Amino acid sequence: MCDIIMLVGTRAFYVTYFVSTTNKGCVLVADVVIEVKDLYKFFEVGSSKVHALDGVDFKVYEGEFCAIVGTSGSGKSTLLNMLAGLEKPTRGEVIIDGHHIEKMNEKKLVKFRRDNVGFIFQSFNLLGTMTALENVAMPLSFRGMSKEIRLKRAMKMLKLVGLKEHAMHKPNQMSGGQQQRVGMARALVVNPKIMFADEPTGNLDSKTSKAMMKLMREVVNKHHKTLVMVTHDDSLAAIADRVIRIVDGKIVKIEDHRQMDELQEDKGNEE
Amino acid sequence: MRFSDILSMSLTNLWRRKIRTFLTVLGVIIGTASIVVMLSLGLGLKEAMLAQVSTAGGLTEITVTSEADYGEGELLLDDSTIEKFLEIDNVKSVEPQMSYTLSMITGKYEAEDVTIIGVTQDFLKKIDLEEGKIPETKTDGSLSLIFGNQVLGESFYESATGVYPYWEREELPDVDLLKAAIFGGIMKDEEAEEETETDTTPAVANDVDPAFADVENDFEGDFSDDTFSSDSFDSSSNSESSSLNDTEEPTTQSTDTTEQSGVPGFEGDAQNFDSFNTDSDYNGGSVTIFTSDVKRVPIKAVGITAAEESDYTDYSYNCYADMDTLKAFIHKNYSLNDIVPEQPVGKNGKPYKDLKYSQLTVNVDGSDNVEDVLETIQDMGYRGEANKEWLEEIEKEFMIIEAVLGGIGAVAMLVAAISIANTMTMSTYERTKEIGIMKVLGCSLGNIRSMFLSEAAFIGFLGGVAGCVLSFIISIILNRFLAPTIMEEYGYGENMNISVIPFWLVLLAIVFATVIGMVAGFFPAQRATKLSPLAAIRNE
Repeated sequence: MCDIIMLVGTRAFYVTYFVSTTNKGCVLVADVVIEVKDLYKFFEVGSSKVHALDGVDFKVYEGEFCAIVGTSGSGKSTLLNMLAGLEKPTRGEVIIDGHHIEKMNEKKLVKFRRDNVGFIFQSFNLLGTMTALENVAMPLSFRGMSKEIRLKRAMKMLKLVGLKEHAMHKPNQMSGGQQQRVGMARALVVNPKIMFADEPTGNLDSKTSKAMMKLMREVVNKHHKTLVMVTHDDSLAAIADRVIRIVDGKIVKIEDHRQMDELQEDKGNEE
Repeated sequence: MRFSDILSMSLTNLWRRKIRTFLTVLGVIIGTASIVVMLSLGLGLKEAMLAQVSTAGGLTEITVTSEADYGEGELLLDDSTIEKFLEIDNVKSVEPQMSYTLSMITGKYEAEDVTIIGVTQDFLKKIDLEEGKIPETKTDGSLSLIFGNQVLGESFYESATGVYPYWEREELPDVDLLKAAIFGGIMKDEEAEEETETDTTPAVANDVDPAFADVENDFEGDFSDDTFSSDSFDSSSNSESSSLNDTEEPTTQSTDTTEQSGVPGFEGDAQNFDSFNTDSDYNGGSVTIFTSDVKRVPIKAVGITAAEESDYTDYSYNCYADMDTLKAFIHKNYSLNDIVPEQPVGKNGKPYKDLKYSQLTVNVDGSDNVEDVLETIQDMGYRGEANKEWLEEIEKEFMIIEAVLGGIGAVAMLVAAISIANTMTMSTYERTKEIGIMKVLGCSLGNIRSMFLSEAAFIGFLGGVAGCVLSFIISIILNRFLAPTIMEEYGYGENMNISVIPFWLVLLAIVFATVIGMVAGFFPAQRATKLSPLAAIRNE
């Protein structure tokens, strides 16, 4: 991997964005949001040691849709947990926006998540006692926002994900896809720098999944969010900007689709 | 997170598990009610007691008793003492009381040394009368008394046999006090004993009213001499002076008697008396103390204190007379050198020139000043006691009673607290995932703790409020159906409540229940904060 030259303060980067995974001259024009250095995670299972993560290094850049792909047990979920500060690494560093996540205590982690992170779950995890609107507004209440402002902003987010009519519905009155969109609105409502998605389509059928991915892609593009998604499905990962493939706790490959897209586009144009 | 948000979230959670919440709250209701009702019983008793005390004098009184009763000191109570007390700041008034004892005889019954208390008219007006009226001030030497309702039964026995009809047969002596002719027996001090033994006849002749002249003869047999001497006090050192007094006696006495014989109905009664004495004469077992040397003076019962036959009030065992009337009566019947019953004597065994009071009641203008005034009085060397002081002692005792009662009630509360802890712990298990989600979404640990604590507190609060309502219902039932019998039995009167729930108790109970809820919910809440946010990530 080549070193990365950072140009601080560059915002209109998507167009000028360029990253090289080769050793040839590299030009980079984006902020690093997540930096993972030499990350290890061991579990003790009985007498044997399981290496869930075995020395992982990578970076995620601002405004990037990054997919972590691996089979079940590859360590991809563990990696995501560590990025979100839900689990402590055995060794190594996780630096998000300049903060060392692995060194934070529970209290600071909660505050950090509250201020910087949105989370989309596989099983939606909406609270059954609340309406869609209240669910979306909930993270704002943790910030001490007044109910009025909270609900207004939540409504805006529901509009964004196209569920305005379902605002007053309870989760059990909505389909899986709708619920996940509520989940998405909930992640977005706090206007986070980074969004994590843990198998966001794992409980959805393929058609809904595709719509969901499209929506996520849209959000990333329109709102310049950084999205890190964990999935086992290659076809879904294809929509991401970059795909980090992980096998047995090690990164085996990092693909950059944008280059491919460009290539494909070029090809299409030629045809 | 805003407090209102935490609260509404807690309420939502409680509401969504209605039955469990209800059952837990029910525990707290029972716990609260048991404490409140138990304490209300203690408070009811205390209130009944206080009511009794305040009718008996209230909290602004200081009672100063004569030191002579305790055989020590020279500080006696008389009019100059009253003057002195009145000079103390905050003293409103001083009411004297004077004790005196007089043996009485009426029909075939007699009573030995009935206590007569001379009091002010104000005091007399405070006595509730069953029948009759309050005696007026009379200074002509006659004596009108209010009889305590128990005096007749407790003190009067049959002259002939010495049998107390009330004690032996549970029947009152067959006397209507207000109508009967009652005589007091003025006994010159016991030291006369010596003389009666050696020189009976003249002494008798001197001491008895001429009106009784005919009766006198019947007394010639000295049957009662033994009784007489056994009644005598032990101050034989005074014998000499008193026997001297005795010889001087006749002159004063005989002048008195002319007046006394003028009392209406006296003559006729004397006839009855005569016949009675004749009877007793034949009866060999007679124990009468009205020997022939006892001077008989007519007295009148004008009132009887209110209460049932077996009831006890503060006035039940004594007779009450107007102070000035009593003074005049004593002045008339005793010479200056006579030792008047219940009056202190000086070191030389001689009586004081003026009558001394047995007790002064000092009225203070406010209960806050009682302590200061009491201190001043005690510094002057007097023996003073305040109801307030005594009440404080009683209050301490009641605090112990209430602590015990409350402790019994607290057992139910303890069980309720355990039930809250259980419910909240269950709730954390149930909501592991929910808590995880909230943690991932950035809900702070403090907020999560607050959420659970406020849930537990709300269970306590609800239970407290409903518990108080239940307590009031129980209290009303107790007061309506149980109080009349129980409170009357203990002599507090049937209108007293057995269970009293003051406002502060309600407030305290609700706060207590809420705090108990929070204490019980603390560890479950702590547990909830420690739950891993990973629970949210796990997929079922």
